[in-house]
Amino acid sequence: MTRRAPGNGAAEGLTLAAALVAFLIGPLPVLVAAGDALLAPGEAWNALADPLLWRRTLSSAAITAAVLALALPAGLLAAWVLARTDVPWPRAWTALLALSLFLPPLVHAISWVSAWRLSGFGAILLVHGVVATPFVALLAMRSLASVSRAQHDTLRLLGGTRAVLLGELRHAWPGASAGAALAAAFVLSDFTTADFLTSVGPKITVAADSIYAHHLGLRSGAAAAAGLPAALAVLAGLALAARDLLRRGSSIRARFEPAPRLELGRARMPVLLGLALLAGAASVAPFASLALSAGSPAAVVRAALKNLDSITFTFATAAASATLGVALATILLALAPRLSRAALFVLACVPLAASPLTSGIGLIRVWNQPELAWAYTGATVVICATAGRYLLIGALPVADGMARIDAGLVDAARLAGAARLAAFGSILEPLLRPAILVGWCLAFAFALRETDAFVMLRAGQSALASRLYANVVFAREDELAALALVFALVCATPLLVLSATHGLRGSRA
Amino acid sequence: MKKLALITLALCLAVSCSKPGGSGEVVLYTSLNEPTARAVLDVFERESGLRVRLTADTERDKTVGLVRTLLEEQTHPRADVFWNSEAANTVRLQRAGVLEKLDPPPAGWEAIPTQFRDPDGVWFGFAARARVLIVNTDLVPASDRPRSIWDLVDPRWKGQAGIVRPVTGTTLTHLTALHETLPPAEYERFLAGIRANECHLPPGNGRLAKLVGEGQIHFGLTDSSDYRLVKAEGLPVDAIYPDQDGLGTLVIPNTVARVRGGPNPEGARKLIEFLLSERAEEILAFHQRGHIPLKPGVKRPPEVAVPGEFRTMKVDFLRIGAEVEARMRELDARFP
Amino acid sequence: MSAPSPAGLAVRELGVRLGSRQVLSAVSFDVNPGEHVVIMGPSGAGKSTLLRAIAGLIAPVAGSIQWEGASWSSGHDLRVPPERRGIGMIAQDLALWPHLTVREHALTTLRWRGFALDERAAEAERLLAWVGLAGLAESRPSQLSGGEAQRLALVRAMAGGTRLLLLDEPFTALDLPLRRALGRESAAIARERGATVLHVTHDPADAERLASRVLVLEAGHLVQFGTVGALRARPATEFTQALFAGSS
Repeated sequence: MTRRAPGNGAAEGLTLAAALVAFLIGPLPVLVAAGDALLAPGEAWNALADPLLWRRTLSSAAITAAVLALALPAGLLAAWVLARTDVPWPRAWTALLALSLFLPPLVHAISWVSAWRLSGFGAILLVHGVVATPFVALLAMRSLASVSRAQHDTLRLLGGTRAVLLGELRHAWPGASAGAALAAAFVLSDFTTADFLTSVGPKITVAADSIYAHHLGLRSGAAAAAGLPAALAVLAGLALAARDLLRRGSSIRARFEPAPRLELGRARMPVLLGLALLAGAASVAPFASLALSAGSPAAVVRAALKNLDSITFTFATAAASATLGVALATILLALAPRLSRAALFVLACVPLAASPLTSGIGLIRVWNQPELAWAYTGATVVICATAGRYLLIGALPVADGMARIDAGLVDAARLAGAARLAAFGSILEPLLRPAILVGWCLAFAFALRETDAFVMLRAGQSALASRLYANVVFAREDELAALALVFALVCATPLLVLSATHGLRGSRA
Repeated sequence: MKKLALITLALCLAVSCSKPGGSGEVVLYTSLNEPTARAVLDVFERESGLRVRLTADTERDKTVGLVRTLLEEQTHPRADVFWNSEAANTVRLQRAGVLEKLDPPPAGWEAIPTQFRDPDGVWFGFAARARVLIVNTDLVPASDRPRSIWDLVDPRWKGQAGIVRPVTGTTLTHLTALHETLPPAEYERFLAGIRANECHLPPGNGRLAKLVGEGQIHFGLTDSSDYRLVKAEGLPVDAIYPDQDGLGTLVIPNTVARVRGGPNPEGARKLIEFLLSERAEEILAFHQRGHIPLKPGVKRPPEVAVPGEFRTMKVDFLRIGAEVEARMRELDARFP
Repeated sequence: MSAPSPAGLAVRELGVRLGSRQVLSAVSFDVNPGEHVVIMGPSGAGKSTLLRAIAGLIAPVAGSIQWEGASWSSGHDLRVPPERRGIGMIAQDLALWPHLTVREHALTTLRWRGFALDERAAEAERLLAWVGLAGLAESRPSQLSGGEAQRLALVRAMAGGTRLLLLDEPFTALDLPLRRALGRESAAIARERGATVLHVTHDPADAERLASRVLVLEAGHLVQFGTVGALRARPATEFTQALFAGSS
């Protein structure tokens, strides 16, 4: 009657292999470098006891808190409007918001400075806020896709549109908090934006400056220790967000009825105005400012041709990195048992929470082996470095998708005779595909704009984002602007594909 | 999805397999920016038949990336040559045993002034930059120009002067040189003055020069190369070689050395000898950034002044290299 | 309780914990081949958990499960994974696969059940015609009515010669006449194929009409197992008494 199903051993093997690869490319280099703190405990302790570190950590925390205070309400509201109302052109707005994620924060800063000469704490908040809001909005939108008609109707009967708005915003919270945690991770590890935006006037230094100073002084134990408070804060935030995200009701099942969209009515114009303001600040203004600085379209074409090798390298490595990262995340999330899944989640957070220079040192120690010369001096190390660092970015939408799939669907497949691998291939993967695509696009975007992981990797110097930074530092603003536009076009490609095919709305049910 | 995965894997393989290698290649780590370095290296490649594989600095990490990379790679060195845009970090690497002596010394080494080369023959200086005061000529009348680095701390210029936050690059080297040269009380007065005079602290010399050019800062201390870039953009700036009637102007050379145990020692020697040639200094002098030739008799544009035409500060780069780490720590705490 | 039956299902001292909660404790019973056993009990008694443990979807902490003399699980050890137990199951929400059409449901299940490629199409057509879904072969679950969806779930559960059918309150979302009709239909199909049925329901009428025996669970314990007549005559608990109080 039943045939022996051989897929379970294969599933275990695949899970183990994926876990091993994920560990090797993600946490291992960080742990190897952070181990210096244990080898030099005195140095590490002195770094932790330094009042300057805590003053700077406080300043980082204040910036992060203020950024989130701006980005959370703005992102939540934008997500609700885009996912749950009949606002016109929702896909176009979403794409515009997402576009801002593809520019490194420093490029945002430059575009604002060249247009308005902003500086100081307010400017830092504005730039980080503009980058953080789409994080919150895009992930909250995916959470809102699982609001059912029944939930919506219940809220409406309880208190009308006001209750719907408040109730559904709570529904959006898991996605929003994940977005906020990710945004906080980036704000906390960034040291260039604050430095650049306080070129004139009182200087603001942040926790990352202390880490960086220890690296300059070649005290890696102290650097690892100094990175600890921020890393722990990021880990805690990500863990809380992940817990919220995974405690969701399922909406991917045969008979899920999504909630109907609300009519905006008279609120349409103010809402459109608000969206225009947000998208303008996040994407239109920076790109317009860059386009103006670039001079002519011919200059942009020249920049593209001059950097063709770098564009090809960046595109190919980012695509490979996103594929590797999302494949690992999908395999681990779909096939690993629940407990080890939580452990893997924490491991995926580690590379993101670590300071880039610490990661860089670890990457050299792990990869600079005589037998691995082909990998270390080529693109492989770049692919693995970004895949490891952004494993979580690709994993979050997949985890969200997993949480929304009714577990009964897989149980039904198992009982129908499918081994774990067969159930994964025939049931889970097709249902997860939109989430996988979103994860891939996000991982691709972050791999494209990556510079942090490349600071110490010679192979990474060929990347387009590294060239962008070289122009920033050497104040070549015309070339920088042209290059940034080329960069944006390269980045926008997957976004347009995504928009045209599935959209980031996650409305699949 | 499967198609996408296949395409990306194919791309990945293609990129992975495209790496060059072999003895016809010299691996150079340089803290210079790529376009400037390329101006010289393209000529070297044409003439020597060797290919230079370049890892240039993005300066996002202000040379620390390269220094750390060289230290971390010490067990399995991947670079042949280190070309540093200043001297202090070269001395740090020398002290850590990352660099090795060229024996016999490179051709023409005797023509390099002794102040700009290592007495043990590990590293050699060439194509220098001067630490100049860049002034906005619209904001500061000719009669009222600053003439000394002490003008940065003169209350007359309160809130109008700028210096790069002195924890990296040539500014850190500069303050370390002052620490080694000035009496302690004077050095202390200078540091305290920067804070008290509310000097602006931009992240890099290029940015500082630009801010002066845009009129956001009246004047500041920067590298002559950054001044020239801003001047070339047509912004109203002028450069002043400070302290001509006293301490002198600090001149910081590019330095080059061979990496111990690098894969192509012979190729390394050829590249080093080319970089130290009059030809390379000439190319760099005529480059937009106008590097200052150190060997006598090198052709240069009239606006590129050489030591002798202005008074230079006497410094010992070995002492600066030994001291720079301690100063960086001190200055990071002093400019939080 | 009858003696162990090598031809049917034997559950011995079964214990299941979910998190920190002991959901089933020392549950033992036997089911003969071809029997239709209805499982009843108050909400939270552990009825669905019992079915999921028998299906192998959750691992017990104690006891054993045997089918036709072969050990499916013993203590913590799941000796036969769910896909090799040859079980059909219909859950309350049916768990139909939203991305597959009606025909793909049948074809996929037959593939997993080990049918050769050339046999699958004909068998799928036969199964769909058998439950009256032939005309809807290209529809997806979201396009089916409640009754059609239930029939599709039945096709999936019975495809490939299922010998043990687990029904976990499968028809509760339907109106009473349809629910009863589908219940009868399923039972008839199972009987026709000689399948053993374990059927969780809250409706005493299901027990009256379909059950050869009724198993009553309360707070994770088996409190009574016998024919409807026996239960009515000697109810062991108030719940059982209330269950059959109004019927005769």
